[in-house]
Amino acid sequence: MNPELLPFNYLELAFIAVYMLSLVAVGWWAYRARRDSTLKDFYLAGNGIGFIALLLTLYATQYSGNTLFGFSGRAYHIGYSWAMSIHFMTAIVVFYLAFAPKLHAYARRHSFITPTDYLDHRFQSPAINLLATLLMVVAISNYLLAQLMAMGRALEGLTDKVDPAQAYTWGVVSLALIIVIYETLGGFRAVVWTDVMQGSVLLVGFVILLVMVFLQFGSLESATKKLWAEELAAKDEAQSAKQARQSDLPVQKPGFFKKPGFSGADSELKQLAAESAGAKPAYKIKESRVGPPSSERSREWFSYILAVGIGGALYPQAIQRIYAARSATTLRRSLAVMAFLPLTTTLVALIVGIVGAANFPGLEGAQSDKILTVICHQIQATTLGRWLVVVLFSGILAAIMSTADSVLLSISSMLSKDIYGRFLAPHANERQITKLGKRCSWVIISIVAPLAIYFGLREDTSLVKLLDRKFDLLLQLAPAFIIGIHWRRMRAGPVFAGMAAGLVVALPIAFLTERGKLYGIHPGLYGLAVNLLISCGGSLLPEGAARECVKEPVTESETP
Amino acid sequence: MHLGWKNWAVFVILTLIGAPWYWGLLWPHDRSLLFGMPTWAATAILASFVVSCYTAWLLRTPWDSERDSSEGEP
Repeated sequence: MNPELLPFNYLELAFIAVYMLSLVAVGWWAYRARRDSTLKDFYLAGNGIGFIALLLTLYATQYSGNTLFGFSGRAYHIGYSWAMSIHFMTAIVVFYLAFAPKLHAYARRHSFITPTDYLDHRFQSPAINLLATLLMVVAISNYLLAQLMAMGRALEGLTDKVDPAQAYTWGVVSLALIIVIYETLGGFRAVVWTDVMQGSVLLVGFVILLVMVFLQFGSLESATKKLWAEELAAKDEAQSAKQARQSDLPVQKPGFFKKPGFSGADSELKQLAAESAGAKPAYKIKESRVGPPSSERSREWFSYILAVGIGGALYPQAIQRIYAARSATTLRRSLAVMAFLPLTTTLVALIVGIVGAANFPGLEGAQSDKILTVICHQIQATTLGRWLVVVLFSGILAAIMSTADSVLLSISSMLSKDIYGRFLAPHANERQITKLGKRCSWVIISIVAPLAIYFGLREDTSLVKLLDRKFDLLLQLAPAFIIGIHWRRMRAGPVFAGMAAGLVVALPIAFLTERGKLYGIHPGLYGLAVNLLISCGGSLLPEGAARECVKEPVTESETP
Repeated sequence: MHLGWKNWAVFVILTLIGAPWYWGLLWPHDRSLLFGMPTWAATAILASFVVSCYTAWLLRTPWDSERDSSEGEP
């Protein structure tokens, strides 16, 4: 049987179906719980989100299909260097410290709904409002696309009775439909309540995954030693072949034990390496999965910490959760717990990728995103294993759907309030804008779902590649949010020019370079450097010199 | 809550320790394991744990908006 398939029987499929339908029921419950037809109630649940709900919605939104499929696939591909994922997910919480306290206070005082509301309040510039809104919509539409693709990939292996391509298509369509139904019914309240369910299932799913992986495949130490031994054997064999070519002699079996630098006392590793030396690895080893990172990988490590740390903190859906927190205390406590969650989540994805690489070599490109499915396939061998996989699979779906619903709601709020309400119909009332927002959700899904099917069936778009692009865009918002909230001299003109210039620099690098990065650095960071230079440098110039004509809107009492 | 340069300096130092750019230079033939993973990877993860602890420690202090207004937990 194909190890990339994870066939569920009818009872197990029924369990998943009941779980999915329960999400729609929660949407209906949230619809009944609505207080009024205002934007604040629909998009922020009336600013009444408490500690547990806020923590779980932040968690479920931050950790997504990328974390489970993309991160485990990336760890499979590059090995322990993907420990950088733990750092960059922690960095998101660190960068919240730079602006969340003030942003939450302003949001409460001025009833912000969308991230653009803050920008409008701070800079009063229609140009910034439009550019920032479009930038955020494009960036997180990319994210939504990645989530829908992850949904398809999650479901395509669930049955061996249906063609995987067909299962992928049905997976994208059915789950997208469920999301859009409960989201348009209950708005932010439905999203948060489902996030509470999904976040809980996700936490349980990660614990189950870790236990199952160790029970089925042995310790992390054995996986590490196996990978190390394979790499050393492959390297030794390559050296022997090179020597044989040079001396025109027959290839000798690798003299592994004589290798300098490996004369240590680890006899078990030597034994494993000797065993590996006889058989050629089924794949070509491009870089060490267990050795310390190369200089380029180290640059990439720092780049990820900055790009994901800053970009992730500026997710529009995360900013809306800052607004929605019941109080500053609630937000502060939630963030304090969030700081530790990468160790329970991305670390597990790293371990899964490493164990997968040791036990199932040979997956390349987008195929490596399926390592989790391959591992689950092995665990399904026993009845207990089968049901544990069902619970884990529910956690996987929870991770994907909770992120997708938050992103969808955020896009619909920005399109309806910031584009329609601000530019196209400034006199529209809240009820009209809310109604349009609901319609927007359906339109967005009907555009993004076919794209997800198209890209997913081509199988050449890795989830992590999609993840990288959105940060290149979101990074350009950093001066306006992180510096602008503290520095009263920052002005609209330079901020707009910096944002535009940052995009002009970042996008060509992103799309024209071979790996989407230049010297291992995210294009968005090059753009951010130019952006900072213009927005801060321009704001330091005398107002006349900068030809600044936008008045400072923030009052003295609101500035540091 | 306002983070000063000293707080950010701590984050920078922890990041420089956590990203093992120096490991290959200092110990090129190191193949030791810690907690079942290469020592450099375990060091990186431990550094990340310290960042989490420091962040949570900073977040123990009430923000200005909590002191200034009457808002708080119900």
